[in-house]
Amino acid sequence: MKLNPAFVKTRNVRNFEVLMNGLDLAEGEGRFGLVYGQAGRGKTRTSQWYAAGNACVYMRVLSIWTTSELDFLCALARELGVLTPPRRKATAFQAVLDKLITEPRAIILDEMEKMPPKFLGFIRDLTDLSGSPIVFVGEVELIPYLQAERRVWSRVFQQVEFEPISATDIVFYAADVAGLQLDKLAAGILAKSSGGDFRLVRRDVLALVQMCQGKGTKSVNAEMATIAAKQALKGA
Amino acid sequence: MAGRKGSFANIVRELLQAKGRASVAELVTAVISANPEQVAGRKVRPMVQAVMRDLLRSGEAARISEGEYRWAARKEPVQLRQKMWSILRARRVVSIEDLMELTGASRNYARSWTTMLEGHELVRRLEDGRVQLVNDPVVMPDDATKAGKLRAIRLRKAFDSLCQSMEVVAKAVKELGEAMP
Repeated sequence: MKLNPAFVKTRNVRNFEVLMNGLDLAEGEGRFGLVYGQAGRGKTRTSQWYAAGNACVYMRVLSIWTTSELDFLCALARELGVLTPPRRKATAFQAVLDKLITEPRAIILDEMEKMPPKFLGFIRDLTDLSGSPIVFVGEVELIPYLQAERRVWSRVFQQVEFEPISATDIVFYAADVAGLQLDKLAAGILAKSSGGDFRLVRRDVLALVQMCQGKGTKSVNAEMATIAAKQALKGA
Repeated sequence: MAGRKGSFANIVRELLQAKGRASVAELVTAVISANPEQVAGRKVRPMVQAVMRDLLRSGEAARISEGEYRWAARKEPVQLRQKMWSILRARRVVSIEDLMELTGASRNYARSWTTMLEGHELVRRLEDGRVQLVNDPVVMPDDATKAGKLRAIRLRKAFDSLCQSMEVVAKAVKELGEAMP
């Protein structure tokens, strides 16, 4: 039995796609999308997967940019394909804007809540002037962060909360990556023990694969799921 | 969809593409100033509006607001290696399994692609088999190995075709020689 790396479209991933399609409908208008949820629910992985497949720009916001809007703009310009971004704030902004106007693309900003709220001002200008959608991805603190800026919050057209991975998603995931057949009870046990954290589910499924190899079976029952959940290292 | 070169529709298309975004009035002015002979004595505004309707229908332009449009190059499917490049740049350290999972690439393709990047000295392989981006040129590098292979195939085909032609010519010369008194 081998683990087959496959990207499983869970309910959260489908909701993310709906959000991106929804943003496409208001083409040409300044608009934001909001994706939030606890750590470990697959927000970043989903964003990277979507950005790679749809020619969007994915950028993880770094804490080091907190004090410099210019560094943030230069990094964004590079992500958009400006190889040598100008080293002045206004011209860097213009370079980003020009690039977005000639090649409109959605921008996904991960962990934006790390930045001071003043950054939201020029990000709002970017989406207004270019018409390209900008999606913020982060944890629940992202909501009050955006709500504090009324002009930004009013432009949030779509939002998705990444919920804990469900038992149904676990059934499909185990079947897709390892060909395991989990009964409902077993999937429920994994969902509960992982607390909806996708990383922990992955670890549990790995433990189940080893267990099934030993037993020479592909069917997983509640007892096996309980053992796998107990075996896996928790609290990571 | 590229139109006939020099046609009115293509002039409008190229102007909108160059400007990025423009209103109908701006396009009318630009068309008149760029091609005064071609539009002399003609009502340009309805012609531009008709072209814009076609561009909207074909997805080449998008309406921003009433009478204002922007160029909207249609989305083309993203190439697999471009997807892998995006994932590598986003994550900086990736495993072959990550590339397979997030892009749908096969194990062999992902492995040979990372080996190609190693050859360009853009990544280094870590002890656990993952690769780390150590030099980010932003733009995806060309796969020189593949280009080399294709060049060799093209040369081989040209050589085979030339050999065949030479055989035909040699045969014809021989036949002609025999036929001569």
